[in-house]
Amino acid sequence: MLELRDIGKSYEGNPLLENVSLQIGEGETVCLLGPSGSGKSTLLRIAAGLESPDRGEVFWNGEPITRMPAHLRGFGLMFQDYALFPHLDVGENVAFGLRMKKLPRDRIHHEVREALARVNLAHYEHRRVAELSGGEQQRVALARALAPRPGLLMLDEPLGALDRALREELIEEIRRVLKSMRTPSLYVTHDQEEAFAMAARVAILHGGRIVQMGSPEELVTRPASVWVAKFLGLGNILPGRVRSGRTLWIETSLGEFPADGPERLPAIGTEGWILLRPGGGAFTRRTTGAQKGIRGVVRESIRRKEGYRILLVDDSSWEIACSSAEPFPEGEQLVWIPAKGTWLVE
Amino acid sequence: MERDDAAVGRMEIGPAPREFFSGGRALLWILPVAFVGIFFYIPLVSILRMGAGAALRAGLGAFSARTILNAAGFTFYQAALSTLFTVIVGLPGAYVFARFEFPLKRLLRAFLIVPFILPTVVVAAGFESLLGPSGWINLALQAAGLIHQPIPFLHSLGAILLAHVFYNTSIVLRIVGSAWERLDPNLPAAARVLGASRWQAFRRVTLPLLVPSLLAAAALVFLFDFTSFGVILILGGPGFSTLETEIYIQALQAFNLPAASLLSIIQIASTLALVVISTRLAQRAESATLKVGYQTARKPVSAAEKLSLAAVLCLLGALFFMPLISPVASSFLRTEAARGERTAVQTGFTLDYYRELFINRREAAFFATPIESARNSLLVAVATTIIALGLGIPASMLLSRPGRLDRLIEPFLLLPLGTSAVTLGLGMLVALSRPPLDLIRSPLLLPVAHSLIALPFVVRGLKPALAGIPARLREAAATLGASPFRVWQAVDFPIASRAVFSAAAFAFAVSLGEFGATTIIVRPDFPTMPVAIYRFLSQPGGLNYGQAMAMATLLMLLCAVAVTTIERTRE
Repeated sequence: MLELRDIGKSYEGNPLLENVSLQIGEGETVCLLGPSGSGKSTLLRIAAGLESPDRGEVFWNGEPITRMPAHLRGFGLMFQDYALFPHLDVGENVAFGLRMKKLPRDRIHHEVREALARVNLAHYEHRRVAELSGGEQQRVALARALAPRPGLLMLDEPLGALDRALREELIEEIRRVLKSMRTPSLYVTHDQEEAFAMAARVAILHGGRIVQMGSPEELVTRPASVWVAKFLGLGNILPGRVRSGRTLWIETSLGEFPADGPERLPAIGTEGWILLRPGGGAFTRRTTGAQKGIRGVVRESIRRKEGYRILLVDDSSWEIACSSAEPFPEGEQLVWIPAKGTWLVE
Repeated sequence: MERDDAAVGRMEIGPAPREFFSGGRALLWILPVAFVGIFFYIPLVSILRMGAGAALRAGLGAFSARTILNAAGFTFYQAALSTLFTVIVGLPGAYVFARFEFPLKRLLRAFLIVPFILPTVVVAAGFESLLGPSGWINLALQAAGLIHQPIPFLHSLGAILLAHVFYNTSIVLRIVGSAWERLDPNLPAAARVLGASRWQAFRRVTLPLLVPSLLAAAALVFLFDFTSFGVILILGGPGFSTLETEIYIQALQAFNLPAASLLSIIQIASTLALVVISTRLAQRAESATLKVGYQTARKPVSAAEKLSLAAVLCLLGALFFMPLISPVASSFLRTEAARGERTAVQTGFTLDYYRELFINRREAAFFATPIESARNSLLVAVATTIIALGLGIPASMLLSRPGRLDRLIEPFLLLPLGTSAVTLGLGMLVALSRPPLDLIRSPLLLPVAHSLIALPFVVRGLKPALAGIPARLREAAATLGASPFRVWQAVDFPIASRAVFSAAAFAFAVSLGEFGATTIIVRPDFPTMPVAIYRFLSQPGGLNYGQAMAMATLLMLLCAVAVTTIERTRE
């Protein structure tokens, strides 16, 4: 089990990571999600032993390993740009970690073959790295990291350079392999879909701190802050004020809407934000009368893989995004009744 | 309505100067080709004829095959040893420059090229003033009472090796350093996570990836050490002979031109082979797959890093600064022996040696005051620059967008690059001292020789500058209505003029410091500064020594001005 405790790191006076704590148990995949430059890769390098933290400790199965050099930790690291050794062929790349362990030659052959078969690259031993496609290189990198059977696998945005279709295929593959080997993993990415697909627990990194940690379900239904909701692209976020105390009704410039809130409902008059998700709402063309919805003009209907995204502009020029199964013509007057929203603070 | 494609084709997008010169392309080649033909190829043929004739007729006089073998053998031996040490010294330097950021880094990097551009005589004077019997090290040791007689550091293999390392380390630093900089640091990091210690990661990952650039650098260094002349002649002394120095000795001291010619043939063949090898290796190094665009240099973090950085910089500094500062210091220090004393005595600061340069003491050695050699050098340098540019600019323009004819001519023009300066001078001596080409007494011969040496560099420098102007810029200008001439004026000229200025400064610096060819064809009454320095160094006595140092300092100054001009215009 890996534990990072209160890790802090600064670069030339600027704090990069502050009080970051994380635990990864047996067979678990934890994802570190955050925008580019938020210190995710640095945290990974600290865990791998390639860098030392300014503050905090790293523990492995209860033992402190903060000062232990990288080559003694027995971890695996998959790099964003694969970092395959260009002067060695595929087999030699995969065998590298095994050679460092000084395993006998036939054992190495056997492990290499198994590692390549695991990632569906059987018989690739003698291919040159430069000849491989992006997806193949990525799988070789995975095989190389896993061949020495590390106690922990770290993945640094491994799918960043690949196109969408390839990414989805490889996500599945990596998940399958990790599950079969039961290796605990720390997966770092800025892509939220990847994070949710890979991990049971996701930690969101912002400003060098973990601002929320939980299952994908928890993150989506109960984002901890406006920033998290925006980062996850959860929907429309409007400033508003609490109007009713017993069930939560939020008053905004576009109308009043019901919302989910915390156990202890905030007092009437509290300023905050409400999240109105695009999905689950209803549309009506009856634009007159007291409608508890948002009235506006359709600016655009954008085709999605499933359904349409409707951009609605109301009188005060707010642009609202809503999901619909059918498109609406541009310029049409519409009222959108959103599903129950979520109350947010900060 | 369809676009008129014919009209689009007629619009003059594309290589403008080619159209500009379309009629006179072949005409433009006449001058450069005639120049190189008369002053390089005719002499070359003469050497080949004389040397081959001598070998066949065995008319070599006192000269024997054994001398040839010894000279060739030693040439290879000292070049190999020098290359080895240069690489050993250069590697830590390359690492430090590739991996670390430190104050004055850019300045230091520019400074480390200086030895490479220095005239050999200045380097020789520098080491003479550092390691010679009246040099600083001996003086310091004597002053400290550790020795009573000066230690003969000079005239040894060690002195030659040291000077070569001083000269060529910058090549290793540049070539290997830039390759190391572009090496993805994630590669050794991946190795370390996979269980390799730092040393294993270096040995198994970093080093194999650096080998192409290492080989390219080593080949280039070997080439320069192989054709080294001034260092062997002055710092090695009479006991050491390479092919180059042997050519010189046979030509000017033994008056055995056939023997010199034979040696030249061997020299040319070897050098050509080395040039081909090193070019191949350089191309391989270029195409080696290394990551580009990584900003890998960072400030040193741990105490170990800071210490190793400081140690490497100190060593490099000592190696590079001392041979440059010591002749300057020596020129201001009186080192004459008092009457009756055997060893030199220091008596403090003096400007006497500089004053001496303006006095003609003995009618025999110089027919003019020593300072006139400075005037001669400058005149020759100016003439060289004019000739080299006058031939090099049209050649570069033609070669920047070459047609078939141009591609054929190019190697013809660049061959002098692979020929040593001594051979160049010998060729002129052999071929141009008889009618109809009795030019050996002409004062223009020196600039001609220097231009031959500088021309390939000028062309090499200008060609990429002219070719590298993206066609898009010209196309853009053309679509905005510029005629081919205006395009050239507005786009090519500003970009090219910088390169021209830089090439001019380079030709000037090359001419100032040229020694090998100059010693062979120079007229005794028209010495240049390097020749004057050599004469002073080879004569005994504190006065000569001091004047050598003073003149070397002057030459260093002039070269420094030229070099900073080059670096300035590089921006």
